[in-house]
Amino acid sequence: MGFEAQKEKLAAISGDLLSKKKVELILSFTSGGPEGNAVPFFMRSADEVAEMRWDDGCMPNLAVYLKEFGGREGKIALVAKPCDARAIAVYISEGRIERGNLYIIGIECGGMKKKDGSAAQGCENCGVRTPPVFDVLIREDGTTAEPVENGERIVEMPKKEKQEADKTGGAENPAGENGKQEEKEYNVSEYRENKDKAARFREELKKCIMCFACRQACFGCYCETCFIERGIPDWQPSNPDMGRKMMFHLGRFMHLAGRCVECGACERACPSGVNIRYIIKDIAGFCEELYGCKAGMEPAGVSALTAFDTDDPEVGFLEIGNKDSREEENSGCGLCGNSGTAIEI
Amino acid sequence: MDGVIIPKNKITETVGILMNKYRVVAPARENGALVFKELADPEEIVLNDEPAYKSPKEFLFPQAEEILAFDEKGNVAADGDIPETILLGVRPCDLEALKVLTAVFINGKFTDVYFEKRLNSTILIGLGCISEKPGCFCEERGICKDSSGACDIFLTANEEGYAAEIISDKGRKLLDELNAGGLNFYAPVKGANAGFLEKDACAYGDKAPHEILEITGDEKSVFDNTDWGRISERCIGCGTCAYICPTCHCFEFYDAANKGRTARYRRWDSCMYPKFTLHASGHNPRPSKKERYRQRIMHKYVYVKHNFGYVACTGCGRCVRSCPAGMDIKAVVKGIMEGTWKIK
Repeated sequence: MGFEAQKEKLAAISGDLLSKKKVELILSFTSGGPEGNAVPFFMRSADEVAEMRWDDGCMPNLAVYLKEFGGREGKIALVAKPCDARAIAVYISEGRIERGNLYIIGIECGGMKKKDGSAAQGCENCGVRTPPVFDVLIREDGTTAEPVENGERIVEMPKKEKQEADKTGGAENPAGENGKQEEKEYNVSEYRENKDKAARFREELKKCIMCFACRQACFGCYCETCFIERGIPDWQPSNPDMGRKMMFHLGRFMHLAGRCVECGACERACPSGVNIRYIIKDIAGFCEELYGCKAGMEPAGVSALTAFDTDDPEVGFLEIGNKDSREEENSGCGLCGNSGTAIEI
Repeated sequence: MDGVIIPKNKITETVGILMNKYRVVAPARENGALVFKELADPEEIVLNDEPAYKSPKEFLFPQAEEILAFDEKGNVAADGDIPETILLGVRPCDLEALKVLTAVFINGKFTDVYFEKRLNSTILIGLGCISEKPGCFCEERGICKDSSGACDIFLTANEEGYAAEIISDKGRKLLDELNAGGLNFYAPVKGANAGFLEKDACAYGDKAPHEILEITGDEKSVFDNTDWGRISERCIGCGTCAYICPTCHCFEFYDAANKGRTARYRRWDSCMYPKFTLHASGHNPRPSKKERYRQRIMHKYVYVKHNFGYVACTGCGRCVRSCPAGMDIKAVVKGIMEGTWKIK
């Protein structure tokens, strides 16, 4: 990866944008925190460009800040990796941002790395190297490219990229934490029968403290009041109880179906190291396979949740555990195993 | 002060004996993450120099606590018993934080019976830190990393094992109990002979006051003339900091009905949440994260100090380490005192 070449170009572009007052603010990366990690950087003057950072540790998804900035106050620029750009594309398709007030510095990315050299959360199987939307693109070799069509066009088709990435196997895409590639099969019925998946989910959620950091770190969770905090009486209190944890996470996942760009921000934000991103990965897989929708690749397109066609395949993936086995266990909820707290509507 | 030395290879045996009579809460791994938890097996205990990512406050001030319950017929449920608990391996920063919580919940205008009950049935066993971890700043906050008197027994790791120093009568009673059980591997150490047990002055004890991190001077002006918007712009409002903080103590109440049983709970709140201090009218005096972050800093460094005499930040560094956006409370307070964030 030509991080140095890219950084040089990034600095030049940023300096130009700020000194010529084309934008008021650039969202980028710098070093910070006790271990010198890459943290978001709010750049307002060209003098600050030297503090900017671009290397394989720049994991934060900067699009999350558009929840607030959304182009309301003046023009801002943003350094967008493919996942950041996909998040922006989701925002565009959902009418969340003022595109004219946002200058996207797209930057090609071959995947970020953790301190130990393994792939960062979200980068394990990512096959998207080029941001789908940008105003200027910094390629891996440091050269720049302009958008092709109308400021919103992709230079290469993402699908093709993905297939190529799949072909190259593990070489380009370091294996996941367990040393093996995540399965690529999206067999929905497997979820109905497979108790291990529910058990794994339950095991991971033991660590969840319901602080909602994952939600806050997620660009896609922009509801003013989250469903989990909505309603009087408070039907889902932030009580660290297994059933409620499941309700929160599954509810969040449902809302992110076909919208999650797999940036991994949720997992990085989690203070307890809860690792349940595999579920949303599967959901993203369903959406792609069943409805042909890969989040954030088509800024002008519609998302899986907002489009409806009578021919849409109807497969449920929440139906975990069949009725008989639930009766056997005599528990209120076949998923969380809570007794007597079945939610009756 | 008196004490005993517990050899390293006897620590799990000792914990096992304690577990016969008490609920023992100590640092242990939960799916890899180091947390304070109720031990099911003495082997689980992890007494190295690694900090638990979450503070142990939840065992005195639970994240969600049922405080009242009744059924359809109006029968009120009896209060649950609080088991006799040993909170083991608590770091000096967290012990200092418990002083803050005690001040807020017990020594203030009102006594919080729920907190008091738990505190009274808890024996605190402290554990000194050997080194500062990235993000830790107890030194700057004027707190010793390797000694504390805010507990019943204090452990110091050395080559032989753990020197257990008796701080309070509760602590003395516990060690007497262990000795009465016929255990012969504790070497009693008396006062002056203790050597490393005696820590009259810790390494930071004589630190000049001006080096200690706090907000001093015109606090009203800090409130008014600090650019809280800029300070907090990186914050994503996740509330992780409040959940893992040893001193955060804001709470709210909610009522929940479930199959004929109605209960009132108290649960943690966080000033980082949009619903924090939201009025019934719909008005919120802290509508954006700028005001919420200001509340976080001012509450910790000014309001608690005014009301109870302590700065409610003990430099444990948890929020600095866990913040997904890289917010650093130490740098923020330092910046405020140095005038970096003054509105021009």
